[in-house]
Amino acid sequence: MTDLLTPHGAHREAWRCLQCWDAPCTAACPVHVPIPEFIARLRGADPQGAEELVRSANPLISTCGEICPDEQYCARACVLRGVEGPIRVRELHRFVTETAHAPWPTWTASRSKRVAVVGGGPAGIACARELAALGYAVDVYERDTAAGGIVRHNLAVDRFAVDRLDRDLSALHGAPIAWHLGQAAGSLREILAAHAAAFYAPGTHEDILLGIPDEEGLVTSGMAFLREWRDGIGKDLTGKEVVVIGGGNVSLDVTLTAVHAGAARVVLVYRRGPREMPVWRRELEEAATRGVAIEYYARPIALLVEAGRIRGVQCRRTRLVDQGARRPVPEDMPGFDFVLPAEEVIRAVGSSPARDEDVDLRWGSKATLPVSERMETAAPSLFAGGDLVSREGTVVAAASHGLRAARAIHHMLTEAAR
Amino acid sequence: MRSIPVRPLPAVDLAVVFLGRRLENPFILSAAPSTDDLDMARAGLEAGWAGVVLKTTSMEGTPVPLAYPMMSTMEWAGRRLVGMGNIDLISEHHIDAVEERVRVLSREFPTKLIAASIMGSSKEAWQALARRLRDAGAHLIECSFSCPQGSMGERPGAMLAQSAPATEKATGWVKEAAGDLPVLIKITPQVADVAEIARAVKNGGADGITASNSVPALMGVDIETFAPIPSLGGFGTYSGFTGPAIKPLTLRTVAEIARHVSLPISGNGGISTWSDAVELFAVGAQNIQICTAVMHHGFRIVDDLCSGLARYMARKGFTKVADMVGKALPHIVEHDELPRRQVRSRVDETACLRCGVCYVACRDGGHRAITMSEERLPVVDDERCVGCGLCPLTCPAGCIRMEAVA
Repeated sequence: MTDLLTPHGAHREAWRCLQCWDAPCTAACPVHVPIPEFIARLRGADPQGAEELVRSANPLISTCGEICPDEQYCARACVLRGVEGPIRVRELHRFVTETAHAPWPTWTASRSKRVAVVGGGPAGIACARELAALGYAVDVYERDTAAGGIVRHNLAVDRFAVDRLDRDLSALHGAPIAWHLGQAAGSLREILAAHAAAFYAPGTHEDILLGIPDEEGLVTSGMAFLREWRDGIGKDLTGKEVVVIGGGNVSLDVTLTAVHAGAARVVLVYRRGPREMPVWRRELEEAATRGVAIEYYARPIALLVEAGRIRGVQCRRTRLVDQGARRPVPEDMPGFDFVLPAEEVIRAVGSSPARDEDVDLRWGSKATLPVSERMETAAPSLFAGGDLVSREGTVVAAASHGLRAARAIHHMLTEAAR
Repeated sequence: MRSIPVRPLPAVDLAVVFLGRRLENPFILSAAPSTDDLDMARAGLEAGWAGVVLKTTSMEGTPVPLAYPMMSTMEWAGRRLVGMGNIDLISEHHIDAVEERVRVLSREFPTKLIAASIMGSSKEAWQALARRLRDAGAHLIECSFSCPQGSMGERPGAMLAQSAPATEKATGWVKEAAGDLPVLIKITPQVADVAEIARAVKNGGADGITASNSVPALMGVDIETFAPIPSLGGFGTYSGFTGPAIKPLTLRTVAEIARHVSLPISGNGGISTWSDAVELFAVGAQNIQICTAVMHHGFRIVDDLCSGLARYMARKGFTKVADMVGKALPHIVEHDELPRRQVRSRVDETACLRCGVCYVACRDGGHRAITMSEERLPVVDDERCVGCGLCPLTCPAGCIRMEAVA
């Protein structure tokens, strides 16, 4: 985490912005934060005005200020990117959220209709905020005892201070939102019967397995490992050799947390190469500076176990083959196996949805739930978002799903009334 | 000080002769805090400045009621000190101390220009000051007719150099006392007709003119307390405004004098870089006095000034600074004498950043001649473009220029 910009540094950076007429940064932002406009307000010493612009577009303003991967959104679109370096939009956004304390809005539930939100992660929070702002009474069903989803439970402890999420939730105090926490939501059928519409964003919670012998019982789930550290009951790895299997951002969070947990050595095994790695470069650099080693072009094929304890992971070399797919496909290279010593093996190769809904969502063979632009599912009055519908995996993308769904729900309900 | 290996400068002679005295380069430290201390003046000369004008002194017994804080900044676009304000007064030091500095410095630095700046309140005071500093060995006397604060003009609050008759009379007094010693009159840019004042300076017998002093300004208002800036316990006053922001004012002041009065000019006000200096030479200054840039970045900037100037002169084929003096003057005409041509805006698409800043400027401040294409490139409509020249000023890539059309 970089240091917060100083007021003068923020002012200087704000003045670097060209104020492009069509704001390619805003277009690239999933929630379309009015970036040149908020930067202009920072220039004019109006941080509260800047905060208001960012907050109206992004319900998870403090959270995104800390962790939004601007390199894949606004900064990537900045016209200065290839010239003198992009505007550090997230740092300016963070400066706003950390220094400007505008009063929270006041809320009124002006409409009689109730809308349900299933899942209190970023997508659900954003949807609930927008629905409440539009005047609906909202029921949020979250099986955990606190809202936030992955952001609360599964980010590396060193990477994100959860009080930023709490601050975002504080802004919803007084909103016409009933938080049903720590309880099962009930079936979608029941929820739809009791509400004018529902937004379904339960996340993905089924660990994808490595598919190697003895995996169950010996290999640790990355999501569980992260959550235990978040909950203050994290596994002590002092002096241990740790192998993490993965390649995505979650696996990087696992490696960072393993370092935090005292591991003597942390190796991340990824079956493709550095160019294919779907991670934020900032996180990758952070992992490298913390001493995490990455074994590219390899996948685990067996655990070496002695007396019921892991001693190592046998890995097989892979090479990439272009099969005309979106990404090259890793292919085994038998005869080039090697063993990584390991006392702890953590799996972080992804998770999949439960797919146990009692209404037909027409999953088909898809790994993600198909939805329309307006986040409509195949079921009437049911909208969906978050990791369930997309592998983008960012807070801001999830928030955009929630906002789009809320506006679509509002449109549907007001059109229906006509 | 760090030692940086440098290649020799181009074999260009930066020396100038000003009022009969040779200066190793055209850069002089002007009368200011940097020259109000013997060690500082020494450090400046050792750093390579060709001369110093010691901070203005007055007669013993003249009170110098300084008030602090005295400095203020004009900021813009995240930059500090785009302009600087001060409510400083003349030197607090006794005339004896200033005389001693003149003696020491002229002994230690025989090849440099050691000048003294004076400000009097009566004929007797002006003449006594001039005589004492001449006798101490000053090479030149500069008379401040223009300090915006603590002024000694004809009316309370007015500066001497805001009245042509007063300027001519007081110049005569000083020159009478100074004898052969060269006398410069430092004027204010804040007059209706600067040429009229310059004529008074000349008619009074001065050897040259220093143009010009700081510009009277109100540096700001604290919008929480409504105290002026700088605020001294809630109260404030007008400052003397200096620094990069006033360069255009100085250029015009010097150009006006050079175009209308034949009088050697020492240029002063808003010069920070060698190219600023070339501009001031081009409108008629024979040398350059600098204060604010030194107060910001130190004496060592004289290295940069000399380096840039020498390379520029070598490139342009100027063998001496005097070759540049007044080069712009024949090109300055009255508005009704300007050539009337058709010009149009032209965009170099290969360098365009596609930011559309030019489009917004033309749309809301020009003639609505620019549209943005599908490829996010500006397209100029020659029918609507009048050639005002706004768009190139706004372009961050510098890829727009105005082109003459048939």
